[in-house]
This record gives sequence, structure tokens and C-alpha cells, in this order.
Amino acid sequence: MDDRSRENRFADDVDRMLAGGDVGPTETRGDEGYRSNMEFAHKIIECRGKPSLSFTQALRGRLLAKLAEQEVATERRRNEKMSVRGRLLGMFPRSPAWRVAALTVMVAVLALVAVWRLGLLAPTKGPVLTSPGPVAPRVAVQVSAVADKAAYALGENVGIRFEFRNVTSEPLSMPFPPLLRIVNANEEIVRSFTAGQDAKTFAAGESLTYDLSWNQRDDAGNQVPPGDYQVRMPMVRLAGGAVAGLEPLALTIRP
Amino acid sequence: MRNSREIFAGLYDEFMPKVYRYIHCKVNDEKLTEDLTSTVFEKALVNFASYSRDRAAFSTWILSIARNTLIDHYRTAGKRQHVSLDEAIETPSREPSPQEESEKRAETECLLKCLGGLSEQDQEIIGLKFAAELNNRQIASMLGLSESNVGVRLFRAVKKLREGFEESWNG
Repeated sequence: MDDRSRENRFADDVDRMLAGGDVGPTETRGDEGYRSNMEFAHKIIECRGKPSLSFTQALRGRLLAKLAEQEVATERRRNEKMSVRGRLLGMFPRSPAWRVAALTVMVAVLALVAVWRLGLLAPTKGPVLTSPGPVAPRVAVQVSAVADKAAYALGENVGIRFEFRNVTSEPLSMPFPPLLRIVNANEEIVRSFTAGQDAKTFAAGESLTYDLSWNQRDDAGNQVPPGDYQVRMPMVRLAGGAVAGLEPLALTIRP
Repeated sequence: MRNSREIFAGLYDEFMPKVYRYIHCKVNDEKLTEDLTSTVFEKALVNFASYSRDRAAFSTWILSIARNTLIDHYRTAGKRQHVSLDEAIETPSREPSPQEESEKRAETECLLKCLGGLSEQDQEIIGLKFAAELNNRQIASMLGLSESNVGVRLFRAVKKLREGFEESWNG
């Protein structure tokens, strides 16, 4: 027998030994090497570790208890799904005839609602006069603001440049600078910059800039805490109902 | 018809000793073997509902979990501890026991240490054959070898192990 088939035969003999079968001398193929390997295989089998009875039983009990819990949890989840369906079906009487009748009524009601919503039931009328709703005020002065930074160190001076542009074809007049406010994340006004006493006249299409410098102090003179703030300009009403408005400018003071 | 608890219990009774032996021959520590065996079967339990006989025999499936559990253990515990053969043989038993038991224990220790001296693949083949009692076809599919190759490697691995054991045991 060549080496390769001897070596493969060895695995079969080991399998037989593991299964409790006897591998007698006639099956050791006669050569010393094979016989020694078979004897050693027997030793390996004898030296194998064995789990203790207490461990075996304890683990078995624990696993089966867990399996039971898993099954209960799975059953509960299944029942919860069914109960919703069950509740819906329970709204209808069990008899098929009643169910058909109930279903028909439901469909009819839904159809009526749909028809009513689409206005197909309403009788034709003449035109209805209604007064127009409020019209958004016309923006006459566009205001934009840019800070010199998005985030500032605590105590660092905050510089903001405002630009006011008359977007109409006529001159306009507005208080300058307008009232400006710094608001914190809780919508509380921490600092107000009062509007100028005099009004400024903008020619049509003219732009004016205004630089605001804020030392991060509130109206009481105290350093504001780190956080997010907004620079806001309350809407200014101009002549003829026009307004000047500003989108709030966000800035952050870092700790 | 058997319920899932009966099925799982039957599989546990059949395969737990094999998984235990396989892990024991790798880590050679009873407490650690028990912990890892528990982990293997707890993982098997969680995934038992999704286990399908069409994909793999239970033996192959549970042994794959055992191998992966060992890999995870080695990864978290660091490299495997290699104990010298001299230390292994001279390690005294802490508990008093009959002489035969003491010698048997020393023999086992020596055998496991010699096993640790073989290549990774030889250790795997011996572990999967003798501890997990897988046949050549199952071992081949787990290790990506041909069935014939497994047979050849097994014979040679046992020969190497035997020679190493004889050398260290007989001094």
C-alpha cells in the first residue's frame, strides 16, 4: 500500500476508534510507523479533556431556560402584532353577511366624503366676492450684515458691518443707525444699540454702510457667557408702508 | 413532533463534550474552557432560530462558532501563552491524588504543550479530528482543504506530535 492511501486509511481507523470500534493488530497495516501512530491516537483520545457533570448540567439548565424565555418573548411579539389586526377585525360582526354589509356601508361613507371634498355635491353658485387677505409689506431698504468672524473668543471684540440699500426708484428716509439688538439662544435681549436720533435719506439705489462694534458686554456692562447669539434689527416701517428688514446674523462666542 | 427545546437539548447533549474538548485542547485551562464553551452555546442559542440544516450540519456550524469564539478570545486576551515543555512537565498538581491520576494529568499537560508546538493547521486538524470528532470531509470544508489532503496531514501531524511527546516525556 502506498504512503498516501496508508495515510488516508489512518483517518478511517481513527474515526472507527472514536466511534468506539476496535482497531486490532490486523488493521494496523503491519508497519511500525502506522502502529505507533495508532497507539498514540489511542493515547490522544484517552487524554482528552472532559466536562464535569456539574458544569454540563448547569449550562444545560441555563440554556434551556434562556430558550424558553426567547420563545415567550417571540410569542408575545407575535401576539402584539396579531392583536392590532384582531382588534380591527373585532370591530366587525363575525357573520359574513354582516361583514359584507358593514364593509359596504364603510365604502359608501368613504365615497360620499370623497365626493363632498371634491365639491361635486355643491350646487353651482355665482362668483363670490371676498376681500383680499393682508398683503406683505414692500421691502424698500434691503439690509444685510456681515460679521468679521463666525466665532469669537471670550472677550474678543465683535465687528459687524451693515449695508443698507434703497431698492426703490425714489429717495427714502429712515432712522440711522436703526435700533439693533443682540439676542441669546433663549431669545433674551442681552444688548440693545439705540437707534440714531436723526433720520438719513437714501437716494434711489443708494447704499450706506454702518459698522457696529460690540465688546461682548450686556446692557448692564457684564461679559456675556459663551454661546450662540443673533444680531437682529427690528423691522423699520417707512413711509408708504414700506419696510427695512434684516435676516438675523448668527455668531458664536467660544469659551 | 419534537419542540425546539427538545431539539436543542439533544444537540447540546451530543455536541457540548466535543466543543469542550476542542476548546480545552487549545487553551488547556479548565475554567477558561468552561467560559468559552458557555459562550459558544449561548451564541448558538441566539442564532438557533435562523440555523438551517440545508446550509451546514450542526457539527460544522457549532465548531465554526467555537473557532470564531477562540479567535475573539485570542484577540482580546493577547497572544497565546506558550509554556515551555519543561515548565509543563514540572508543574506540580495542587491537589493530592493517586499516582496514576497524577501521572495521567502530567501526561495530558505534556501532550497539550507538544500540541501547541505544532503548526496552526496541524493543531486545527488534530483538534477537529480527536476533540470535535469531525470526519475528513467536514474538516476539509472548514479548513478549505481536500479530503485526501486532510488524511495525509492528519497522519503526519500525529507522527510529529508523537515524536515531540516521546522526546519531552522520556527526557
